[in-house]
Amino acid sequence: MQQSNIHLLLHPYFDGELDYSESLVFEQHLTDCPDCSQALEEQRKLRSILEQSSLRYTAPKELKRTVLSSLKRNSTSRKVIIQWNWKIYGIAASFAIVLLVIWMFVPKNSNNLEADITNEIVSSHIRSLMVSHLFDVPSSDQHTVKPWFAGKLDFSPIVKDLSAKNFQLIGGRLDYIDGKTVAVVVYQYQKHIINVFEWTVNDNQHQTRIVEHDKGFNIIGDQSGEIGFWVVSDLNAEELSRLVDLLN
Amino acid sequence: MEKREKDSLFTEEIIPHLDAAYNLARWLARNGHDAEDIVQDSFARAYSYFHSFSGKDGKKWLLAIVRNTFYTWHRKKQATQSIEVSEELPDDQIIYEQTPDIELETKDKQEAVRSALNALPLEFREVIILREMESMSYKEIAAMTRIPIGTVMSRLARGSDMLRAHLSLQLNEEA
Repeated sequence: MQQSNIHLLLHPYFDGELDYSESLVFEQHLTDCPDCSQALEEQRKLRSILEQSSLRYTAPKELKRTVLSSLKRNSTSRKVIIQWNWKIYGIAASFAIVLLVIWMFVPKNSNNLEADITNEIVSSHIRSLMVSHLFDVPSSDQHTVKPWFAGKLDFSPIVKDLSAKNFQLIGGRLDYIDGKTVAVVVYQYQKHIINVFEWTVNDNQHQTRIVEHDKGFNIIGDQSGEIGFWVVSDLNAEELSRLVDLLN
Repeated sequence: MEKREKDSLFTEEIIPHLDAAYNLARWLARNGHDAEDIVQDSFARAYSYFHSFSGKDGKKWLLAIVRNTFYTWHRKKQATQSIEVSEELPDDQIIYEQTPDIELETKDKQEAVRSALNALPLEFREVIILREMESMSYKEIAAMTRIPIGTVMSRLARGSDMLRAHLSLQLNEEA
């Protein structure tokens, strides 16, 4: 290395990136270059400050929780896919029997409960349209809407950018259904406003899809995953069902 | 890999580096809100690409994903922003050129370092964080950033010189 460039070795020397002979050359240079000696001294001080742990950022507790819970959700959604594949390739009749059995064994009062929830959801949907309290957080950006819910709920709601599928995310709000605080994620399909109610489903409450019609609105409930959806809109049931598929 | 095995390996090898992931994202993005989004995305990516994890050094593997996720986000953000405001000021930025000496003297030294670091252009800030906070070697940094090792070396040198120049007052005070 030329003498004029030898100061370039300062950083690799300091970082222990030079081999033995290069180090010797640089150390020799150091003895008669006060500029490099001073720079090296300053570099040491700089490192001692940079090494201090208080310059490091630690992840907020909420973020840790979100990451862990989404990992869990990832696991469950994979389970659902496996079951789904099995259903596709399995015997259609057994599927029908399963549905029949579920239908036969669903307790009567659960139907009433469901009707209550459906009523509440339709009322909330109508209210949201009437008093224009459609959202607390109006945004088409999932990275704005999703973090807004953080800390307001004990779960992390599913918020997706489905604009490519013609469902435009337009915002989110909190609502109160069936004695619980729930997340409502609002999408728009053409002129139709869609309210997606989300809350956590208890293990023993998992249910397959239910499609209902009430006061001119279509309502689809899907409690098959860890997060249950109730989707309500004046949009036709077919498109609405497509949205539920996309959310799952 | 069995799903259960994958989950437990992921929990063992990757999850413990959440703080390091956040630290890197926070220094790159320079604000907490974006850093949180980047970390969430990174973990989702890490989980789905976990089959490509060699089983060695989960931290570096995760940090490489965080860095990629950041750059994807950064490019997207730059594309949607007008050129004038492309370099957004960080939450806690103190513009050192405008800070009177007297203020610097009374200011917490670490805060001065923090803002000087934040004020470094991204390509210099990145290598300094990886070198100084994650103790990565030049070779490791070159592998992660896919920058030639000579460029890593010169960026580190220039970045450190810039930092030292901004902070020469504090550093000399201590002497």
